[in-house]
Parts: sequence; structure tokens; C-alpha cells
Amino acid sequence: MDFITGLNRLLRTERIIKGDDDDITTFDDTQHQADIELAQIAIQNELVACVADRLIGYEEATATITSVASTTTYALATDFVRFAGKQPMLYDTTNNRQIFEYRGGKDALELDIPNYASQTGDPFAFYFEPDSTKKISLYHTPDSTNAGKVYTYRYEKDVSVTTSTATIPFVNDIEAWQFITAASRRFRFMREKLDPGNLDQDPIWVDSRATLAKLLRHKNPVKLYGKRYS
Amino acid sequence: MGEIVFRGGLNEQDDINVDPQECTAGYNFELGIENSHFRPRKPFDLIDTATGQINGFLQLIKVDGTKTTLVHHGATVSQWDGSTFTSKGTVTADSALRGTYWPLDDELIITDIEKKTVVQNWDGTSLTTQTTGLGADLYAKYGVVHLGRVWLGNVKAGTDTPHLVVASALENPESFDTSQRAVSGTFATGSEAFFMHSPDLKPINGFTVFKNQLIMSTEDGRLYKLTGTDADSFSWVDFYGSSAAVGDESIANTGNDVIYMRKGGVIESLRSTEAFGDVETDDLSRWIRTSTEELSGADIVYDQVRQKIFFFVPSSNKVFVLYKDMLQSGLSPWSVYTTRHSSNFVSTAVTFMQSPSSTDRFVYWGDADGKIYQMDGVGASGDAGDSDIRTYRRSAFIEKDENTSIEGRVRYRRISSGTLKIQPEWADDYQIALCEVPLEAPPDGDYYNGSAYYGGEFYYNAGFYFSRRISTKGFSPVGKGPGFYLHTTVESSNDFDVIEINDEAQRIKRSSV
Repeated sequence: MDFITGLNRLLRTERIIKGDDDDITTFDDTQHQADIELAQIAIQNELVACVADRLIGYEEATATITSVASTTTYALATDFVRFAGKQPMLYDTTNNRQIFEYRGGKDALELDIPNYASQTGDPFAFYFEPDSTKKISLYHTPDSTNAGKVYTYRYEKDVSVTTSTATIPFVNDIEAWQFITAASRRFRFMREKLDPGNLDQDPIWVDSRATLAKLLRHKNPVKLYGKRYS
Repeated sequence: MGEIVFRGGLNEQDDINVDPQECTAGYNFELGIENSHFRPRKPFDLIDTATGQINGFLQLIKVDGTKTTLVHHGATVSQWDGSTFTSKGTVTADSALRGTYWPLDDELIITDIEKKTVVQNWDGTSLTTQTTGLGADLYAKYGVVHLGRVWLGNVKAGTDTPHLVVASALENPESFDTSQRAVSGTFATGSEAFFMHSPDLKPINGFTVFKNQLIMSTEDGRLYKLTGTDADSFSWVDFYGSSAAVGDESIANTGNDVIYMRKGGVIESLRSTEAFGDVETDDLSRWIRTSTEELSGADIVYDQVRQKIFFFVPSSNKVFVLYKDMLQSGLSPWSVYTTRHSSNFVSTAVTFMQSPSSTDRFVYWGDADGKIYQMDGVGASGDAGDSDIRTYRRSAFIEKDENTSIEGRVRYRRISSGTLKIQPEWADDYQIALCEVPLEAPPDGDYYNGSAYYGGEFYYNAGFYFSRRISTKGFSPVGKGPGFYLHTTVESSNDFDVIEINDEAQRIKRSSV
């Protein structure tokens, strides 16, 4: 289910769209502009709450970095949250070689090798760059011989939704429907200016969340209880 | 649940004096005593094009029903059948001919507002100079028929005498006399022709007959009515000072009243003036004084069929329209017509007459390019068949109980597709958010054609099953505040019918500002 489909479902649940009204086709629709903006926030906030409650986790994805001669710093994927797995790693698929974070990061590298930033050669480590966007830098800086290498990395990606075609991070429709039911209650609280702190006392919201949690179970529940006597 | 309906017209007074059913700004909306909907005026149709500026319309409908319509265009007077112009004579190019029916001879007596063409006569076949019995050519600005005589006002017979009225002999429009003055002259029977002058000796700028009374206006003077029965007794009785009309054609008989515009753009009712004098009850323009106070005249024409009085003001590119049936409603009876068509309502002649090709009656107007237009037309593509009509209203100020937003629904009839633009102008907010609500047409259906024939599984007009069905659309514009003006606009060549607009979130109440 994409964001705009979920938003339409929310608006119909809340009787904003009813009767002869058509579904929203774009978030720029002016007919229900105030409610569209509020509904977007309600869905996004409900998603944040689900992630924070560990109902759903971040999804995993892969991306690549291609080394360029004399270029030290490289941007990570725009939806990058953190490296997946137990240890941050870049993998050179061509040479079957792994590159790990320099132990201690940039601070330690500065102390260990004062001229680290000007050394060129075959990169064998990386470090995080403290910047407003997610970036890493390679050590050594690739030279012409080592340019063009493709490093693959696994990462946890942001599951928030912003564009109308963004997918709400649920595997199937019934999970998404249930999520929207919970988001609808949050929307109602916001629209009627009720204290959102009381949302967890709203029986419909609580029930929606509980049902969602049951649907999100990865394994079938145990069917037998107690001891088996052979 | 608060609701906005559209029963009243334009009211430019202070908010405290504006009824919630009226609008504080607007144009091109229709009104009517039975109507409370937001609806567009009908488009005007381009009927025909003549050569030269349209200067006048004249129509003779004889006792036997024979109808001839003349159009004065440029220097030519042509008989017009709705599609063809047949020249019947030439006159001075910048004349402006007007006709009055003389029933005894079943003909038109034709005068000229500009006094550049002598008094003419049209008998249904020939356009000739009217025999007057005077030694000099007779020019007259105004002509009416009253008490069996032809009365000509603001005349020139050799010497220009704009303050003079000449009355024909009884039942004889070919006999005029500029030497015998009413009452003081010598009359054997009282049926002779005579002249009178305006009591204040000011030029006559209005002349009409109302309930068997002859009403005259003088420039910067006052209104007068004629009393008496014959040449020995006729005299003028005046109304209050400064009651005169302004402009040359700013006085019109509207059936049960005479409406006229006086100085300062004030539009008055003669009936009320006569009963109450110069008080607000006779000021019909009190709702729209802001728009009319700069006006110095208007061409007034009364549509008897649709009960609308049109005030064509070419200098303002507008037509002010007074809906007569709304006068007793307590609400503003005014709408204003504007157009996006290139003609811009810059009229050079207006009239109310029968269509040349049928017995239906409409208001017709012409422009400097020779085009002839018909108001309340039937065209399906907007004004003159090519210009959308922008219909607009701004409500009275609407207070909100709390600092909340609008959650509304529009109730309308499915007639044709269009977009209703709703814009709340919030107090305490700098923005006017736009909210576009689609108005939908009835769904498509099967029409009689090809494999679809009457009977079987097809029925004629099946596609119109949902036509004019009531439908609703929700809307929620951004913004909030302690109150707002609601702007509603539709730009379309199609008809639409918005019944009401509801605010479901909050009761709408009348402003107490």
C-alpha cells in the first residue's frame, strides 16, 4: 500500500471523504488540503510510534560506493540509518575483500597517522565523517590504480514515508489496513485537538495496535501447550 | 450546523447591515425571489453584425401583428429580420434614433437623442420625414404619446430650444405649433397643438409616461409631472429639488414604477419619491452606493419578461441589474454583470423588444463594431459563444465560535462539470487559501444513435437519469481564525447550481462586529 492509498483509506474511515467525494490523487489537492496535511502527519507519527515500539524494524537494503582517484569522502544512501549487521563493513566484490571502520574512527586516525588525509593508495579502512549528511571517507585516498573499485555495503534504511508513492512498510494489505485504523484514531485526536498523551487510553487505538502486533508475528503461535507424553 | 445560502444580492454597506444571505462583493450571479442558490447569469448571445456602430433599435408591431424591426447602424437605418439588413434610408451618422408608437396611424414616430436627424416616421414599409406643419425642420430628443397627442421634448425648430416641449394637435401628429403656449395661448377647442417650456427653463433630459402621467426631468433641475387635460389647462407640477435624472436615458418605466438615476449615481423609485420625498426608502441604490456614486448616467432598460432592470454603464464596463421581484424581500436586489468578452458591455444602444424572428422578448444591445447582442441567451459556450463567465460572491463576515478551521460540504445539483473555488479570507491571517471543489456532471449514458434505439435495452434520455441530482462534496481549506469572508467563484461556460455550503465543524453565526 502506498502513502496516498493509505491516506485515502484514513480519510474515508474518518468520513472526510464520503458520498460523492473522489479519492485524493495528489497531496497538492486543495479540496481537502487541511485534512490531507493533518492526515499525512498522523500516518507519519503513527509510523514513528510503531518503529519506536519495535513493532516494525528498519528494512535492510544494499548500496555501493565506487572509488574515484583523489576523492576521499563518499555519500552514503539517502535513506541510510546505520550499517546492518554486527560490524560496519564495505565489501569489494571484485577482489573479495572487506574493509572495516578504522578502530577509534577519525579521532584515532588523526592521532595515529597525522598525514592520513594526504596518503593515497589502496583503501583498507574507512571512517565516518561528522556532517549534516551521512558520509564516510576512505583511508587511503584511492589513487589512479585503485580508482573504479565498487564497494558494497548493507544498511538499515529509513521506513518513513513522504511522497505519495512511497510504500508504507507493511508486507501485505491486512497489516497496512490495520495500521491505518490506528493512524485514523491518531488523526482524530489531532483533528479534534485532544491530548495525544491520552491516545493509549483510546480503546479503538489500543485494539488496533494489538491486532497489528498479532498480524506482524513472523512465526505461527505454538499450538500445543504443556508436556507431550509419548 | 452553519450554512451559507445565496438568496440576497450585492450589499456594499458596513458588515452590521449585511444579511448573511447577501454578498459584500460579487458579480454575474443570478437572483430571484424563489432562488437561494449560487447560480450564474445566462450568457449573452451574439445575434448579428451590421456595418457601423449600432446607434438605435426601433420596432413597430402593428395592430394586425405585423412586425418590423429597424436597426440604426452608422448612417443607415436598415430593416432587420434577424439575419439580413435591408437599408431603408440614411440619416446623420452619429444620430441615435428612438421610436414611440403612434397607435392611431399604427406607425412609429422617430426622434433622435443627438438631435441631428429630423423627426422621422416609419409605417412598416417606408422611412420618411415626419410632417409637422412647421416652417422649419423639427428635431427632438424625446418623444412620447400621451392623452392622444405626440409630445416631443428638448426640440430644435430653427433655434435650439432644449427646454421646450411641443405637443401635437389632438390625434394629429402632423400638426405642431411653436407659437401657441399652453394656457396662455389662444385655443378654440383646446385640441390644438401648443408648446410648453420647463418651469426652470433647464434642458429636458428625460421624458416618460407612467400610469397615465407624463413625467419630465430637467438637467440639474428636478422632476415634473404634467397636470391638466387640454391646451387650456396643461401645466407642470414639480417634485422636490435636485430630484432630476442625470444623463440622457436615465429614466425608465418599469411597469409599476419609474426608475431613474440622479446626481451622485443614486437610483431612485419615482413611486417612493412621490409618496415619501427624498428619503432612503426611495433610494434603490443604497446597497451599492460604493459602486454607483461616481456614475453620471446609465442607459436603463426594463425586461418585463424576466423582471430585471438593466443599467448599462459603458464607462464602467459593467451592467448593474436590479431584480424587481426582490424589492420587497428586504434583501439586496442587486447583481452586477461583467464579461470577459471583448465587448466589455460597452453598449452604444440598448432596448427591450421582440426577437425579429420570433415573439420572444429580450434585452438587446449593440456596440461600436456593429455587433448586436441578446441578453439571457441560450448559447452553450459562454458570452457570445466564446467567453467563459466568471461568477463570484464574497459572503458577509462569518464569525467562528472558536479559533477553528472549516470542515465543510457543498451541496449542488449535477448539471455540468466545473470547479467551485472556495477561498476563506481569514481574519488575523494574511493568506487566502484556495480550495477547489469539483462539481460533477451527470454520468454518461446511452443516447439514441446507431445501435441504441428506443425500446429493448435502451431508453431515450437514459443518460440523463442523474441529471440535476443533488450531490455533495466535502472541503477543508487550510487556515483558521476568529472569522472569515468566504469567496466563492466558478469560471465556466457551463451552467451550475450550488444549493448551499455547510460548515460541519462549527456553527456559522452572523458577525457581531
